[in-house]
Amino acid sequence: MLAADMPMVERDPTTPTALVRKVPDVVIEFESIYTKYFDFVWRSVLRLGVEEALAEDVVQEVFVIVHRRLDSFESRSSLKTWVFGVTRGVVRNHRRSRKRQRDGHKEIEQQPPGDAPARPDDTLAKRQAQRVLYAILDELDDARREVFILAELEQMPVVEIAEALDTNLNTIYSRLRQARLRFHKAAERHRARDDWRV
Amino acid sequence: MSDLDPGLRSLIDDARDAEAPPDGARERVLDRVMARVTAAAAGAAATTAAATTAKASAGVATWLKVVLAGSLVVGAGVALSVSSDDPPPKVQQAAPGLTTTTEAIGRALSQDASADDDELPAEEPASVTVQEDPPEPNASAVEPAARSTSAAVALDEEAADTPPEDTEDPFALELRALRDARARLTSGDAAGALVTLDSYEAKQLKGALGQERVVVRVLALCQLGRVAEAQRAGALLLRLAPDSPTANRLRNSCAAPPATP
Repeated sequence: MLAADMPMVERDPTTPTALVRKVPDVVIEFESIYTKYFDFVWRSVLRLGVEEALAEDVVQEVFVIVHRRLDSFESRSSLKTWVFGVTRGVVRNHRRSRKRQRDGHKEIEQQPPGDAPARPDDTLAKRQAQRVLYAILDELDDARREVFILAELEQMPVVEIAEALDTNLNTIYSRLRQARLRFHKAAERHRARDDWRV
Repeated sequence: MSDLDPGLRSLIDDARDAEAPPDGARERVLDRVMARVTAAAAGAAATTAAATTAKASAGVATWLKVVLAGSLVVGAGVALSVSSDDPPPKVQQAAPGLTTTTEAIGRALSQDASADDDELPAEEPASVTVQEDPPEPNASAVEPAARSTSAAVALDEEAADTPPEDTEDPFALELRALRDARARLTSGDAAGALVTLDSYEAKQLKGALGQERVVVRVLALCQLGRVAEAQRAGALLLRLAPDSPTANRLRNSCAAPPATP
């Protein structure tokens, strides 16, 4: 029996929920999770501050952990928020480790997002927009950055964000309000520096 | 919900277009994920085997101590009986006891040996042979489902490097076969699911989703009531990757190994 058949599973095809603990013979579809959320994990990793050159390694780590912990997923939250929780943890570890490396080897400088190898399908303007966006996100602290990414970039409902970040709703609203404010200010600074013209 | 001005919204939209992963990243990462998962499972299996060996060695050492202690006790008893003029009823009673103990030790050791045999059943090397060598003429004696499943589990990275006949990307081919099999299973066509898997595995054993294929096969066999085959199909996966999510799926199916007392 597949997860999609379970009466307790929402029929929303974007939610391939795994219910291995609740119902016998349910297939937890790692492959379908991978297929569905690869792009989401990829862009989340970049938005959370991982250099594009290292994104594959970090995304790989995320999915290894997803595979390992899949049987502990209990459907209390959506699969997307659970995957984001894993992503967030992996990125934080990665950044700590990179910081230690940089502290130990000063010559290794963080590669700016715009320096990633150019791809033929990327227009210059879109790459520039990406570079500016990440530069603005870099000005937010982790807590507000995560809320902003989920709310404004992923359009995730605030209730789900609270689940993903394991934080109460009022705190999320507060962080989002502050994040928007700081994002606007940072954008203004970038405009003023003529880094980005709208 | 968003309070962002249109300029910022446009920036975000433009940036999003540039955030797509580069070509081939999806496949590369999946290959590496599955390689790590498989390696971890193999490491766990090796650890389990080492623990079993250590346990067996400890058991043998314990039994040797018992034998040694028993011999000393019996020797002392014999010495006492020789030094006494009285008939030695206790020694005569002890002798059958010793025989019984020795037999018990022998039985225990042989049980240990047979337990080891259970850990590594005879058909396992055969499944390895399937990966590395071309099929032998008598390979048809092995049941097709069990054979293909063993090869699929033992699988992937080590499987024979036969190039795909299809020019389609091997991962896409495998994904399509797996989806098709699942769709058939979902619609109640378990036999069709097995045909799909057999058809894919006849062409291409190597793949990144070997464990998921085994799970679908096992569930299809369960649905058809072919419990013994399902258990056989799932046994190797349960042994090689006992802590994997796929193994947990099997434990919730008809292929779950019988509970040990």
